[in-house]
Amino acid sequence: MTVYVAPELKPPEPPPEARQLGAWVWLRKNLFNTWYNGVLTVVLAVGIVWGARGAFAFLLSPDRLWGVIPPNATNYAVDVYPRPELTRIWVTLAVVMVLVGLSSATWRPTGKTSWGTILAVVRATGVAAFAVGLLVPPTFVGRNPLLVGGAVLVLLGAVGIRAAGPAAREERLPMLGVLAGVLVLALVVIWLLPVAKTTKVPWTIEVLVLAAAHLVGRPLVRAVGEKTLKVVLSFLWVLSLPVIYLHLERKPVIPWEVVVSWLPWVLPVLVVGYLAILYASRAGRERAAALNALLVVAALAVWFVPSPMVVRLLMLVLVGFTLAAPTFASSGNGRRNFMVGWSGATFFLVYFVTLAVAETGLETQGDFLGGLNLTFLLALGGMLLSFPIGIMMALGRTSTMPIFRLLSTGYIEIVRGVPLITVLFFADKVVPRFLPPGLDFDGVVKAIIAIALFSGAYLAENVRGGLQSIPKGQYEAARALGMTTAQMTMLITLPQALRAVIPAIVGQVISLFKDTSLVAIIGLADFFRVARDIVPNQPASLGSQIENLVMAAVVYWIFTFSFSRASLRLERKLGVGTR
Amino acid sequence: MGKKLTLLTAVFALVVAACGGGAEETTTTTAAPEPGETTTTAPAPGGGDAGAGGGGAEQAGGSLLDTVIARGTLNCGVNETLAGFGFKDETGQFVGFDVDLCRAVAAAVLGDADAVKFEPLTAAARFEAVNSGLIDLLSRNTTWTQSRDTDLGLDFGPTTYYDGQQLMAKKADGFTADSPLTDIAGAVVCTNAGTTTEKNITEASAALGLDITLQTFEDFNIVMENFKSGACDVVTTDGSGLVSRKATDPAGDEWVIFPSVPISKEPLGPAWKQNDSVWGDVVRWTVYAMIIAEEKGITSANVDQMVANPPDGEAARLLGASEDEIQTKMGLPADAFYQVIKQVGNYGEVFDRHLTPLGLNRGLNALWSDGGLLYAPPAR
Repeated sequence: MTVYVAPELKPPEPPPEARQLGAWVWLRKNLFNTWYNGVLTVVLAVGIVWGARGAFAFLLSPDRLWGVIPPNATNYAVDVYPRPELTRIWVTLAVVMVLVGLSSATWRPTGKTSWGTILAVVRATGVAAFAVGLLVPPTFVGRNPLLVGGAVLVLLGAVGIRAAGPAAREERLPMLGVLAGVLVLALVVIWLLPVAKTTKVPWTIEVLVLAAAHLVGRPLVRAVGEKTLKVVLSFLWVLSLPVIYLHLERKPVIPWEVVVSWLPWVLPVLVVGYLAILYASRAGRERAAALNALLVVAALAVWFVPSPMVVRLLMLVLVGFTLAAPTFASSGNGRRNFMVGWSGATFFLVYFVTLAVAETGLETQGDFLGGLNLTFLLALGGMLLSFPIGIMMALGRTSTMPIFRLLSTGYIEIVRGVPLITVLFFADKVVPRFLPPGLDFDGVVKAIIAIALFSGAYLAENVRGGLQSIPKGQYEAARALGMTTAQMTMLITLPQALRAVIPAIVGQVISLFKDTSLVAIIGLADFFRVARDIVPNQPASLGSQIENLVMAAVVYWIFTFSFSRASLRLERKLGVGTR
Repeated sequence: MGKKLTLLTAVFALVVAACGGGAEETTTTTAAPEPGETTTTAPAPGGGDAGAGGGGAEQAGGSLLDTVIARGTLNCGVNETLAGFGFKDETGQFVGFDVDLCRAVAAAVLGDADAVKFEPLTAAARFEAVNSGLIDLLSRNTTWTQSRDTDLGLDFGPTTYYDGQQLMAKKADGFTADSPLTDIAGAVVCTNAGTTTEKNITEASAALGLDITLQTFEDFNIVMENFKSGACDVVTTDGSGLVSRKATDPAGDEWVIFPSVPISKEPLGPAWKQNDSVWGDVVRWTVYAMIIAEEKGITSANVDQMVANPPDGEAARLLGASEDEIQTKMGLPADAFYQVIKQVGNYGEVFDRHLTPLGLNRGLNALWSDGGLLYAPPAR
């Protein structure tokens, strides 16, 4: 029998030459291929040019008061936040920059791009600028700079692409480096423009902080290990929100004598906690149960003894720890984690209760949160709180236990059936009447809770969709392996469900971000309210509402567009839709 | 089963009791003295007035005056969206004509015009804010009306600004400053929704049998955009609002405000919770002190010289420069009104600071001696 073997592998054939279509051919092929498409192209082009000319003529007319926007920049950002304390806002931003820098070093966005893509963006920007220059009214002072600048950019891009040749298509440039370049460019522009020193110096420092954090982050990843750092950073991100808003920006005047008076209570409980966790994790289930019974009684008893509130809460936390100890802390490693966890829980409980009893030291004329600062607090706080609510409700609704299913379904259907304005109004005006007199929450807290409860119901339905997309075989396989329901949910179904619904969750986050503007109904001055009501009613700004609304639209668009870009990258990284 | 249920009930009772205990502890440690708690020992309403006979400060227990002094700040309800009267400037500070009244009362009671916590309020929320005790004083371009004075449980102070509803139209449409209201027949009239201006124009045109198309918008800024674009022929709101729009808009010269006698009376002034004469006296006399100071030419610039050399006995009493001053009998420091003039200014200064730049002139709000309506009782 003869066997045929090729003596050597054939070299692969070169890829076919990409055919460069001339502009004329492209036009014929895509815009004028039939007579009716030709007519459609002309009609649409005339319509677009006419609409754009009208829009530019309106926006750039000398009657428009664009001049009122720059002096009010601080108002848009923080509203009434006392100006002598603005450093606190910059420190807040620096904290975020540090976290962003460390995260970018830890998670290392892997995207790459090519010179060709960048030059193509430059060329497209040039074309857009030139087109805008043609469409603006001839009286507009920026017309010639737009035309000349646009032409220069087009030339630069086209010449660059021609000069680089085929090498321009190689994806070698790390995306991170390109972003850094854009930041540096933005800084240069800020320094060239007539911007106040109080704006450009802090921003320069912020960018330097960001770069420094990234550079420190790289060796840190090698020293600490990527996995640990990821856990620590995620924890820090979540923690940063309350610390920033309750401590950094609120400037609490901590009543030290009160805090010190807690110590004789807190320290014994801390030590008892260590011993109890140790005992409960070692002594076997029956003795641990006896200890837990004792601790539950003690935790209830402290409510009747005149004792600081912080100790009462701490005892409840301790009961949680000792109840879980026999199951999860029986190994040496688990025990160590529990000890660390108990120390951390004690520290943060004391810390946050201290902040809660402290008065603000800010010299304010009213509430100090407002502007974009408040918008971010509402969006981030609402989002973080809505996640646990949404996931729990989704699990409840898909659960086989009728009570949980009924409760979650009822909650979801009721909350989804009412507008957010109603929920906000209810939280602000009606709920305080149910509470005991004298007990009422801050308007911002009520708004965050209302937004989280509202958004949680929508999120629950998104997550439920993800849970239902998981093949039944996976549940059965998990059962066959002897997994408990908790293990099955945490390890098999929930991670896949969440990954599958990223696009829906991002949509929810974007709509939540924009919905925060509804808090104006309960008297909070968020970014949109400052732009719509407060600035246009200053004597010097009367009649500038349209300008303010256009500005607000652009700001909202920048943020939501960034969200959706970031989520696209995340989807690509996690392979949503491809596996 | 029965045993389990009892146990469950017992645990539940324990938890409820525990929560109750906790709430009790927090209220006793954190709650400030509630105004309501001390009213039981207060004299009957009106008793505060008798305090003028002596020892008024002690008898005045339960008045907002004591609450404000104990708290150390004045909670004042203001507007944040009305140019000239109450708005936030570029540095985020509350400023305006109404805002300065809050500052004046704080200067009188607490000696510090900055000891004010401003509560920005919408038109809908303002009366609830007074009645719930959220604010001590409402100074938010509020018209003094019969229903508000009686039915809503408020008391009003002296009118600080006499306003009245007028209309504004384009000269090109044939309107002049002397146009009668009947000229708007057939026109599209626009105003902001949910305010008394809407009701006033409806009633006024119905009384004359005019056929108009009334369009309402949520916000007066939108009304103005529609007026400028030609979607509205006529806009209507308080005269002060129209004047400020006309004065600040580049096209304002082509508009005209009419009729010369407004179609409604809008006396704007401070308000507070009713049946508190001690507090009412403080607010009332703060306003009067600012008016008297203008009559006598006492300004923030020359008040120190006036204290050193009072022009007459009334000025000396008002500024606390003589023994027979009356402020301490009201429960205020002797130099209360000196602080008002020093830190905030007299009525004319406040008007010039906030309203003159908007093109408003004194008109009805001139002193009685200049032909206006401002008339303060004598300080003696």
